[in-house]
Amino acid sequence: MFEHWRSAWPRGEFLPHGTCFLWNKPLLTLHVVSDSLIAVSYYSIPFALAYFVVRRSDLAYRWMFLLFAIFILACGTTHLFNVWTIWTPHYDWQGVVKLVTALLSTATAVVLWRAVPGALTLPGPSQLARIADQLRDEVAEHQHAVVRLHTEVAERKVVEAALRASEQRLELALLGADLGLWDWNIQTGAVVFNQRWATMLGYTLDEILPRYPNWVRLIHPEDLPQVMDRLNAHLAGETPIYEVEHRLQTKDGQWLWVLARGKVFDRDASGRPLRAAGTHMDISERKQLEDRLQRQQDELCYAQRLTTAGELAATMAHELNQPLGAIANYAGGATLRFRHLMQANPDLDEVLQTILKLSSRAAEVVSGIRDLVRNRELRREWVDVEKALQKVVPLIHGDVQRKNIRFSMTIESELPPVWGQSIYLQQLVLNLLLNGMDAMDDTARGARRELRLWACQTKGQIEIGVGDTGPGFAPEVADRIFQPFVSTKTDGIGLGLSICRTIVEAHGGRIWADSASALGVTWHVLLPVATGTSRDVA
Amino acid sequence: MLPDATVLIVDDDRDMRESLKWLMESAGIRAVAFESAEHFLERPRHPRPGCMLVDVRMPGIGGLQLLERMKKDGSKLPIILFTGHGDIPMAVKALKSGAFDFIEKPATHQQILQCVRAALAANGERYAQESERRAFEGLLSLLSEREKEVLEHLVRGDSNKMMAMELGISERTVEKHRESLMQKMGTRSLASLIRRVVHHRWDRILQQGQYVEVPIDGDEG
Repeated sequence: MFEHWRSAWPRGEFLPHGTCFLWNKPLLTLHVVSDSLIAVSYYSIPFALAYFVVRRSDLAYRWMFLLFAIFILACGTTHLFNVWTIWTPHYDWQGVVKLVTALLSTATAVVLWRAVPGALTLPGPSQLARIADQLRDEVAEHQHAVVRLHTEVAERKVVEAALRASEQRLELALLGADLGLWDWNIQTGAVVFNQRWATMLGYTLDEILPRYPNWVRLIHPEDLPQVMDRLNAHLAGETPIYEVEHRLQTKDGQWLWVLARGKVFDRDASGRPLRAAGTHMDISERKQLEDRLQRQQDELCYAQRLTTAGELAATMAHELNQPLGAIANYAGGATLRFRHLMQANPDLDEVLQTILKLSSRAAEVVSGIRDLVRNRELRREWVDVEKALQKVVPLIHGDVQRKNIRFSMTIESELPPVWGQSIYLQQLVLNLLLNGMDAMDDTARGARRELRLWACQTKGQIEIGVGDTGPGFAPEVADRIFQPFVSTKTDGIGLGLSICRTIVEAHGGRIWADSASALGVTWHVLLPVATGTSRDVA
Repeated sequence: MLPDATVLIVDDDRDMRESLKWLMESAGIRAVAFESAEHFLERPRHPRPGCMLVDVRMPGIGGLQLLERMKKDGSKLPIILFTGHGDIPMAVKALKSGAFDFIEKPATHQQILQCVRAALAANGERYAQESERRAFEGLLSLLSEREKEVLEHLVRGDSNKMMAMELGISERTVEKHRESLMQKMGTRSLASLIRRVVHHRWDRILQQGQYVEVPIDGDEG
């Protein structure tokens, strides 16, 4: 078949195409000019396209443009051949060129038709402009948003810093106050503890389960009822604050005294508690001190009782000695005065002698009691007056507060020591202070209630003084006030001051009361001292 | 003991006070009682105080204080303190402060009387001594200057001859002065006169250039 075509291929026997036009000049010119122009255009257009494509690297369907360029080039070439074949009958080459052009244009057409739908979706310039505007707007918005974000971030950083500072402050405060912290979500039973809460009991924070039952478990069984009472009372809203001292078990099984305090902070609409928080304070030291104080008070009480018994005996002895002595004096005097009578009446003599003997015996009994009591006196030692006084002050602290009394104490420094017994001196001062306080019991509410205690050195002796602003006493009473069983109080035995006097005299000192100017009573105690100062006392 | 020497009793207990007074009077001794040291100090001076009986334990001015005050005022009156039973420190203090003695309560009437009598005797003797001294000085004041000088030499043991030489007078004049002064002094025995001079330390008094007034108890107490 190919041979057929080869043999049939034209060999230049054809007539130039101008012949068809009968070499009509105007017609020829028309065709030649037109075809030439077309050819020129068709040759320049592709280059323009190609240039465009090269320059616009982002062009869509680039290859299509190139295709067009080639196709148009081919078209141009056909028109060139149209002009050529007017004079030169190379119809075979014209035909070939046409074929090539046909193929190219067909391909282009096919491709174009297939690309149209896709190309249609490409945004047009107005669309693009709108899109561009939209984009610009969006960009602006984003920029604003970014600015706002930055501002928010900055604000948040500030807030975070403040929060951190606040947290730190809380931690420091808790640390400084050595408080354990608990934060209880009552609904869920979850509790948050802080480090100190755990370390107070010898645990680390992770060893403590953050749940309410855990906490309750550690409470001392004896304290549990009271703790629960107080807690429930507060949860129910009966008390403004939850506060109770109780013991908690430490890691090594010991009991630690804590003061638990807290409050409900959140309640729901029906008043049910939702959240409570509070602290734990280690009060074991305070409890120890309280114990010691109690013991001291007991000791002093015991000594007081001892002295009271001793004082009772001594007072009785003294009281009895007076009449006994008088009896002896009278009886003895009678034996002298009525000598003659007695010589005449031997019975009288005998009776008087008996009286004398018996009263003597009675006196011995009294002396015996006195000796017995005296033997129980405690040993003597050097007493630091300042220390002794300072031991007494805490004992009246509670009463002073309760009775709204202004108490002041002035002790001269480096007072020399006193030879005696500290506990008796303490008792002495305590008695005077208690007396002073009692005296002011009836003072009107708003009136001045002052209690003064001082100690100083005067003329080689130590003076201890106690002053009150009570009603004082009349000068007539002043002499009797130290006598035993004399009391201005309705329920007083009246031994207190008698005891004071015994103690003072036992120390070789003097005691007297000053109630001048009805501004209360001032008690003065003068005690002899040794040379040297308290520093010399071991 | 002076016949009307009086015991001054100071005790705040009425029974003791009165019974002591009764006892004293039963023994033939005058007594006056005071219910407090203050009362005692206020009263006018007693004409013939013999001694004092004071209780230590009194309100206000105590016995010891009263003792100290009397001593400070220069009183030579013997003071007896009644102390409590077994109160040794008080007794010691009493003696140190110049008490004549102390009596522990309770005491028998005999003990009390014994002590009081001793005090009165001591006081009486002192009083007598003072009186004697006064009398002696009274006599001395009667001597002339010359006579005093002679006496002085006599005490020193000088012979008449030496005296004459010292004083620049004749032996005869010395003799005359001797006689005169012996007469004035009311004694015949030179030895006893010299003894009295020495006893009263007259020579020392003279050396001081003046007589020293020694008060007798009648003025105080």
